[in-house]
This record gives sequence, C-alpha cells and structure tokens, in this order.
Amino acid sequence: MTLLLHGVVRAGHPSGPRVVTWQDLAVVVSDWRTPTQQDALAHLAMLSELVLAGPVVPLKFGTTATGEDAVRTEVLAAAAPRLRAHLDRLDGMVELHAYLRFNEDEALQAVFDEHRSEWHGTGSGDLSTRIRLGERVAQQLVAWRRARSDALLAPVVAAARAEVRLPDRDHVEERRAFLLPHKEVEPARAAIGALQVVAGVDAECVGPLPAYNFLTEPAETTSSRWGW
Amino acid sequence: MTAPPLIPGTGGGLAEALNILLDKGLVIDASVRVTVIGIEILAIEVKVVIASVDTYIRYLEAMQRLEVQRRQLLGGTTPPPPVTQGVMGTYGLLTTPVPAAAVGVVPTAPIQQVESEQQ
Repeated sequence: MTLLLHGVVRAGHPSGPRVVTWQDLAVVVSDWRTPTQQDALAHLAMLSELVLAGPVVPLKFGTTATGEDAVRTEVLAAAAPRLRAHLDRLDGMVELHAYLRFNEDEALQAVFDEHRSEWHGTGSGDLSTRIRLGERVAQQLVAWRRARSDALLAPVVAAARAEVRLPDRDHVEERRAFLLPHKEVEPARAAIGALQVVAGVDAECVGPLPAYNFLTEPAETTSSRWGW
Repeated sequence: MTAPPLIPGTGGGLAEALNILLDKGLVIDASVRVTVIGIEILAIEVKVVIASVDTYIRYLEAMQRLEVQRRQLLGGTTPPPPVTQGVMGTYGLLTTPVPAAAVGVVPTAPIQQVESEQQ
C-alpha cells in the first residue's frame, strides 16, 4: 500500500505516529491519500511536535513510497549515512522563525532622512525615470529593513547556531529562520515578542519547527541581495 | 491523517510558516518506488513578491511629500505641490497640464495637413 512519508527520526524516537524502522533509523509514515492543504498543515504540525523529543529530518511534503519495504530499502538503507549525519548535526536543535513587519510610514521617513540629498529636484521626469527612482526607494527600504532587523535580532543571532533570510512578502517585512539549541528557544521567543513593545515592530515568532532551512550547510544556501 | 494539536506558542503562524516550508524538506533521490508528488495539486498560496510599478510610484510620491514637508518646516520657499492628473490622482506623468481651451482646436488642423501630404 502506498505510504506518505513525513520525516526521518531515530529508531525509538518517542512518538505516537506510525513509523517504519530499519536499524537505528525510522520514517514517520501514514497511509497515502490525495493530500489537501489541511494535510500539509497537519504534516508540519506533526513534525513540529516530534522535534520537541529529538532530531527530525523533514522530508519534502508529498514524498511517497510503494510500501514499507520500499521505505526500508529505497529511503533508509539507501540514504543511511546522509540521514545519520543530518540527525547527528540537528540533535538538540530546532528551527525558529521571526517575522518582523515595520510600519511603512516610519520606514519611508527613515529612508528619506538617510538619503535626503537624493530628493532635491525629483519632482518631474518621464514615467520610466519615476519608476526607476521608485525602485531605488524600494531597494533602500529593504536595506534599511535588513539593517534594522540585524540590530533588533542581534541577541537571537548570538544564541543561534545558524541563520538564514527567508523570502519576504513586501519591502517592509523581514523574515528570518534561526537554528537554535532547545534551551535557547524560550529566551529567543521572549526577545522576539518583546520587540513589539520595545521597538514598535509587529513581531511574530513561529516554532519550534523541524530544521527545514538547515538541511544544507549555511554556505550552500543562496539568496539574492535584495530578495527579489 | 488526523491533524495533531498545534504546538503551543506557534498559533496561526504555523500556516504562515507552511507557505515558506512547503517546497522545502529533504528529497530522497531514489528510484521510481519513492516519488515526490502532491505539491502541484495543493492550492497553497505561494507568496511571491512582485514589486509593482504602482508600488514604486507610491514610494517616490512619499519621498516627494516628505521633501515638501521638510522645506515647509525649514521656512524657506515652499515649492508648489505636484500637478495631479488621471483618474487615480497620479501626478508627474506629464510635466505640464494640457490647457483646456486648446482641446477644441487640435483635432481639425493636423488631420487636414496629413490628407494634403498624402495627395
């Protein structure tokens, strides 16, 4: 029977879900059915709960195998060294997300103050010139937002083993993922939550999550300078 | 698959994280007996940032407003506000407004001139 594969854990991982075990490794599985968005959310929630009890290597949602034998031979046996290396590296670590949304008016004011001299005599110009100038403002907003986020999130960065910048929705929202030891999660959550009061930033913290963004070494991750 | 309870502290943010994480996760590059399917059939909203022209123009206009305010605060010569035109109040696409009185004259003369050149 076709199985949906969720994540790899160590055999004996304290977990409720169904697992297929091979030697010291196990895959959390469920019976296949056409996945829905709710199933995707449940997949993430389940892995997020599992990571509280030990390392989890999340598999890409939608990964299927033709049966338990295929899970053992094609997944666990075939990729055992790689999976063990991930589990060892992620042992005791979780991923935490910080989403910071800055007030657009304040951000524009800050960018204006920083680049004031650029705005003399820019009242006219053809449309392409105006678009180019507006794009320049957008780039300056992103640079300001990232510098501000670096400063605000410095305590979390100091406690993190690694950090990656996540895709942002617009020019005033910053999203970061941190790889943190378990014991640093609550201090980090408190620090991010306090930004709302201390810095007036709309701050949201999500996690602990499986280390989705740290399955490759940080040096291998890429992101564009401006995020678009 | 039964959805387990959300992890304490994650709240509705988990759905937000899902948008970011759905296409991530380890891919087992194996035989045809292990495949990755399902992503395409999910109607997950993918957040893609496409900075629009409207956004750029809005940012530029904000900078211009701030410059006007700054000059007013300094007490110097107050520049005239930008000329507004168009149904959405966009300004700056043309540097000078078209005089209303000229509208009735413009259609006839150029057309006659074109016809005579063709003959």
